[in-house]
Amino acid sequence: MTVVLLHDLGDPAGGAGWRAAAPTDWIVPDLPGHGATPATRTGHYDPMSAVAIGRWTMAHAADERGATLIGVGQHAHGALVDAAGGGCDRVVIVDGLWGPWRTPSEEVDACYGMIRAIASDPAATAAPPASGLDPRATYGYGVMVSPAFCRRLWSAIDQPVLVIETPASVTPPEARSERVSWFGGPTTLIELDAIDRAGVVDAIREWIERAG
Amino acid sequence: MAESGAGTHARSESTPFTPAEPDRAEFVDVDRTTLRLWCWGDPTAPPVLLLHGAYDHGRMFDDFAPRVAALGYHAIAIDFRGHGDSGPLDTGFAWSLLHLDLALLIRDVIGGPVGVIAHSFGGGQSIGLAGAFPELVRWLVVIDGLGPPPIAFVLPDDVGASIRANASRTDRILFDQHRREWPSVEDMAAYRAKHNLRLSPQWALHLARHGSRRGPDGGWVWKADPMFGLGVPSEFNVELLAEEQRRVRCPVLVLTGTEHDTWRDLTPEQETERVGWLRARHVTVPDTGHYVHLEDPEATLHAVTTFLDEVGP
Repeated sequence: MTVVLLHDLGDPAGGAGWRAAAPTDWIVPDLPGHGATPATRTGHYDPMSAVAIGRWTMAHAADERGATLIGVGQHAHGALVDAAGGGCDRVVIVDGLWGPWRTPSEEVDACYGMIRAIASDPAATAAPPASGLDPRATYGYGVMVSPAFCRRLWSAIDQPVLVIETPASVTPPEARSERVSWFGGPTTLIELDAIDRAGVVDAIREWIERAG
Repeated sequence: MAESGAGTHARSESTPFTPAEPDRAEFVDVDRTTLRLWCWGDPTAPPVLLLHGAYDHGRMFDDFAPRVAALGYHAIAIDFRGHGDSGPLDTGFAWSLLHLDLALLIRDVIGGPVGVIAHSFGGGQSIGLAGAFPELVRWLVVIDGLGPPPIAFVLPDDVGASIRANASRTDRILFDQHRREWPSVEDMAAYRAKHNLRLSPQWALHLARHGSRRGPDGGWVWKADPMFGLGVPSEFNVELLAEEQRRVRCPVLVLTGTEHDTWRDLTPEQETERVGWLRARHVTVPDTGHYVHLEDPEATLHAVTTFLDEVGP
């Protein structure tokens, strides 16, 4: 059984925090610009890099028991895109249902605010560090979404989906059930009451075991 | 300029073709990449940035930029990141990244606000730049760059198949380092002319010559980064486009052609609506298609000059 975990963008610990909590046979890379992995060759961050790394890892490690891809935070979107393309057999997202929906005006405000903030941060536009957290990676991806977009994308996923929500989630609690109903395949929602990586890992392990 | 009543024939034989080598060419380090600049005119004159379209490069302004410089401007054409001689891309999910490249180029290298003349995809970039960094843009001229038609924003019926195709292309580029090699630049020009029917043979060859380089197997490859066309899907729609265009506060001139052409997909009503979002002046240049400034540089320059007479340098 191959399990690949994509840690959140901007996680100060990179993959180390999850590696400490996860079984040793899970694959938890430091994504570009985090931990021991240098920044991307362009010093810019986008979900594509993480998706490509996840897909490549699963293609080279997967066995007949299939592959589970876990996307945390901003990497939930990449994991779901990969799942919609049939790149994994099961997908898990942790705090990845997006926040309150934004109006077009709020989306553009957020995007322009992000690039203005990067422009004013010399560390985010200077050469990236050789290792450790790249300051640029703390600004997020700036991906725009809408309810209609998520509904279309998520309905194309017919593999089993596990949705884990922790107290760190930005998704309004009252919105979670509806959003979970948009997935095309069997979906499980688990709401944890503590921000605890070990608790998340346990929930995922149990779900994988139950799924066989 | 009056609406065209002219026919739909291509201007291939009559289009002026008088490109001039740039006065200066340089590379600058900006936003963690390297950008190629092609410059004409007095470096102390008011700067005007010239932005090309998708898969093109700054040498498309070899005819028009010297005309702008002759008006008393420092004309600076760039190769966008992922195009021409500039640095590579990791993804096509680079829309706002390119706004940032432009902003840092203007602020840290050029040193002050600029006028912008931008074609097609570059027009969209100029609109984003002016919306996000209004202090860096004095005026915009947008040449057939009002954005795609609404149908282009719709997700494909089979989302999974689309993602699989995208992933397959990405893997070929990233892991197999696959690039199509062409036997000659002339073949590339012929391909270009086949897809851009109104481009004259001279322009197709000029764009192919400056848009290609030797491949590892002895043939020729396009300089444009193949990753430019790939990316993780996200939302973009007409409402977001409208919001971006409404953010522009500087004077704007929109130039469009009158002839059907590749990449000219908007209906007149859609064009009018988008011109309204920008609160722009709108001039149609008769008997031109998508490449207004290549097909009729004199009429384009006349429209720009008239606009600048109104809004200042």
